[in-house]
Amino acid sequence: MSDLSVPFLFQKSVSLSSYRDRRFSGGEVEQDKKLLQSTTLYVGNLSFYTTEEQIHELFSRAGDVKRIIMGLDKQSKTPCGFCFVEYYTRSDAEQAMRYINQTRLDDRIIRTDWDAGFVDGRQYGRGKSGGQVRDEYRQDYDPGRGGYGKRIVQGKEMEKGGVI
Amino acid sequence: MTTKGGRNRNGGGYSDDDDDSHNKSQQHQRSSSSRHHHHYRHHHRSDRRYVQQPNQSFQQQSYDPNKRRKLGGLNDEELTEDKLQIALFTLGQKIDSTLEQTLRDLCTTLCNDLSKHKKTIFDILNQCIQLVPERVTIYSTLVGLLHASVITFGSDFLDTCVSAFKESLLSYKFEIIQRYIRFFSDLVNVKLLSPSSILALYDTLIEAATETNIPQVRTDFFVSCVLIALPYSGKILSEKNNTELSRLLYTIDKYIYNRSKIHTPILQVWSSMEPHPQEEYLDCLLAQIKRLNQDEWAESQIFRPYYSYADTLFSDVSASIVHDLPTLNIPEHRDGIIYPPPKIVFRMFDYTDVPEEFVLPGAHAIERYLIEDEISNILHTYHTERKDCAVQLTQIRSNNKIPLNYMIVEVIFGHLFMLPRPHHLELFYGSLLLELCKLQPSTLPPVLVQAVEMIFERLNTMKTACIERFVKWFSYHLSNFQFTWAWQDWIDCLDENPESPKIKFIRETLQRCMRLSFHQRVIEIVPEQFYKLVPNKPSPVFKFEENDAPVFGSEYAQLLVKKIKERAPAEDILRILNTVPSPSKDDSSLVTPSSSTVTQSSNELTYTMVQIDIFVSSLLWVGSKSFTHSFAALAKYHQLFKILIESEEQQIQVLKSMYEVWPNHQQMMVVLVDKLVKTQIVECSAVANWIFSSELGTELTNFYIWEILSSTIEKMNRQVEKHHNELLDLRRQLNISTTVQLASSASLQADSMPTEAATASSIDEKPSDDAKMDEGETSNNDEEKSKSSSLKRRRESDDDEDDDNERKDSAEKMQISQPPIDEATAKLQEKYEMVEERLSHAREQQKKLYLIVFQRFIMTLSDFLNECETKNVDPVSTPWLKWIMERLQEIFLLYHEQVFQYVSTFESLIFTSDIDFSILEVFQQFCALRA
Repeated sequence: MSDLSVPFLFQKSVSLSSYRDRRFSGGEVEQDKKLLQSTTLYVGNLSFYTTEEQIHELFSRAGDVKRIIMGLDKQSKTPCGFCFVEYYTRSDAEQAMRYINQTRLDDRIIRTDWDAGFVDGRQYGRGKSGGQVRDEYRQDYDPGRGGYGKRIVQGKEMEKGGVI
Repeated sequence: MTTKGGRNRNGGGYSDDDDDSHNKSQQHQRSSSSRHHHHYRHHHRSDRRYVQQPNQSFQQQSYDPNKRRKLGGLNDEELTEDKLQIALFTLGQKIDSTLEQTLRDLCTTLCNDLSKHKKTIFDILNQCIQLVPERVTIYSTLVGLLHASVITFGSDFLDTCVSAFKESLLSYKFEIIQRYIRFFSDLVNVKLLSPSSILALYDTLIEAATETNIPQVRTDFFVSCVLIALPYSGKILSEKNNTELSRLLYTIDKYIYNRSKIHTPILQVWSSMEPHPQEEYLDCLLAQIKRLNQDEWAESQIFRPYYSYADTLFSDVSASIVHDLPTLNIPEHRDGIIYPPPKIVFRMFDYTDVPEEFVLPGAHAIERYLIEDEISNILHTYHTERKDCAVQLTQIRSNNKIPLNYMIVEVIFGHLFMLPRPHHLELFYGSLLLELCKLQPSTLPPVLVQAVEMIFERLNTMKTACIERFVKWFSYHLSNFQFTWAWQDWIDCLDENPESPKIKFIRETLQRCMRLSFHQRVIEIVPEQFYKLVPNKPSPVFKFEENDAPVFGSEYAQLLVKKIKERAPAEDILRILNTVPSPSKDDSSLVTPSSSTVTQSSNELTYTMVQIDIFVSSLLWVGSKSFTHSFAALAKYHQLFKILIESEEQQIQVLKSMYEVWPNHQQMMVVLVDKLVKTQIVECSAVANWIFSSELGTELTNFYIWEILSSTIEKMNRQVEKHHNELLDLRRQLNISTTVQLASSASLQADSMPTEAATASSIDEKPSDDAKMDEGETSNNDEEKSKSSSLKRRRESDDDEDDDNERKDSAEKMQISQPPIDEATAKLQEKYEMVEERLSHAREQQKKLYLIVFQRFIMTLSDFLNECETKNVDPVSTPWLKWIMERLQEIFLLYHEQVFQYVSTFESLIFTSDIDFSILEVFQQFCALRA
């Protein structure tokens, strides 16, 4: 069946999402081209406590993992809830997109997306406080990701300061 | 169309919410001038073909084809193709009352488009027949309606189908062949094909099964083609051509009675026939067809929409012509064609297992087969989209009160446990079961729990390979449900032999649960009685640590640890290692007569096992914080490894030292061995010898050991495959037309392929950089390489320059001996010969690896059998024999493609009549898989 073009009906899970890295150094076309050939996945919504070993255990079930780069808080250099998983082949990375995206690891539903390929510096959170941007403004209490969002915590501290 | 919800449309942050649906509707309204659309047109043409049709189950991913028009990028033909592909591929995805009208409307549309877009329509219809077998009757209905409406359609379309079918025959696309035969059979029902001509096709297929001196797997295939088509055409044939049909069935019956079934035991998931026999698939299918014949071909499962169109299709005044299939020839057997291997029918439920309101069709009811087949087809069609797959499975319809969830679970487990290998990634089946649980949260999980309990109760006779897959799935499944399980139900078995299958299953499951979570979590999920089965905390052990009774070499190890932490250069480490004295005779347990094994470097220092042990232990200890730390440590001192490690004994010492640091962390050992092999510090054969070494004796029944062996064998296989593909590619470039039998399709001859000729030149060749197990692995060591260039080299081949010079030399030589050809071709020629040499070298290594593995299996098993005899123990009563014997079976099955290439060597060298029959039997069963 390989000589037939497979209808999009069966390709949804591996096609690109709408997210684009706004700090990507090349143009949009180049980024898309890289994403379509990429063997690297961004993995999000991890617990801060989830280890590389756990990620390896799950993602190696989709194929041979080349390396895992843990996302770190820019300031504290501790895990801040995301990572990159690189495979040796595109097809293994596609399997991970198909079968791991939106399933659980460490009791959290994780999210996978294509990444244009790891470049140094991307392992750090881009939020003002050092972690991921989403943890700056988060309203809910998430014990796996350091409790409340950083801004809310700051706000509360300021309130306290005002009282004193 | 831009896939999974527009979660990030509001900015860069990632949203966690599980429910995409609201985002999806927003997505729908996204500006269509998005760059992605332009982009996909160029790169993902297939994406463009997915367009939405209202009221279909795929509407979650909104995409409006009309928007494309605004882009102005699509011409009329492309638009039609888009529209048609959606209309045809989604046809009948959900069967409801609107289908009848949808089919009529579609027929009208197609009739209108036919003159202008005939080729497109025919192509897509053929695609549907090939890709969506579970809806074949809907397509045959549509084709029948078109046939009744357009006088030329029937013969034209048939021509296209027949030529596609012929092509699938010639290229041995077995799945496609079967799908066309079934489709043709159903065309009899819509009066497009004559019953006599479909019978003629069946006769041709059966005739092909009476040839002699051909493998049984070939004849099996053609017989199965007829059997799977008969439920569709049987009724009409019994009415119109009953004599011929009876004769056909008689011939099939005789064929199946006489065939060999040596292969059956090795494929069965359970060695016991209790409570359900694991029937050979053709036996079972024949029994079902015979039953159907007795029932006068009345079945109640196949959805036959054509009966709704009696006025169009079956009216007496219909003017449409019934066509005959042209006579088709079955291509002859050639050596090297790999036919579909035989199967067994997996059954775990019978009618007593399901709630009373349901009726599970009996084992030999055709409905059981038809529903199982439909489930299997949906699994294949939708395996890339687990959510859609789950939806499609739950929509299977039946005229009877069937326990659909039971049947779905049974078929999914049947696929997961399928031997030699599951069709798809194990993870697919796991994630599909999660989706099914999500879709039917109150009805599916109880069935799954019941299934787990039943499999658990049958573990004693379950094949080791299947138990392992069960462990992997179960731990994964639990990890998605907070590890909730009624563990106390299994307390009764805790007193069994610690090696018994049930205990092993629990132990290995907890091990995997720990790998997916962490040690403390596992402690928390199980009752206290299970603690003895909970794995040890996966911490490293450093035997050289400072304590009251230091072991030999501790002071050097301490120093190394300090230096490595300071990121000292390799030279410094080597200097320290050089000061380690040879241990006295009393301490010589670690020392082996290495000087005698390494003769080539007699003038150089050979590093002792103690030195290697100190280095490896210290390095791994320093890097013990995480995988990344360990890998970084290995990478930093890669060149030092290359200097220290030469002989296989030294390689095995690396593995032994690793085992001593990480006895409690199985996953770490798995990834470390993987890295050591990929970076060529350790060869595959050393891993195999280490696994069967006495130090690991007690570990041999643990699953991680086999995880290491499989991953090692797979790396070897991939290496061969890589060179093979390179060679094929070069050959294509060179346009070499000679039929040198290197292709894997000709693997049967590989044993006698030109290895002998090529070996002479390649045997001395040391692995060059290109021959590395993994290219990416060492590239980041360039820095280290240049830094350590002052270190003396033991392997000249590590030097890229030397290697290049050699290549240039050989190139010059070649050009002298060859007639003048243009430079580019000469370069290609040169490269071709180089890759050819590498391939034959890799094949030699591959063969050697399998030889070692099988030899060590035989030695280990024979020793055990002898021991049992001395002790007067029945070996079959011991769990050990089961674990190891079935691992041997597993290696044969998992790597049957590769093992078959060298099967004659193995037969003449190691699987000889002087080994124990129980071992030899495994080999014979394996050979029968292709007989």
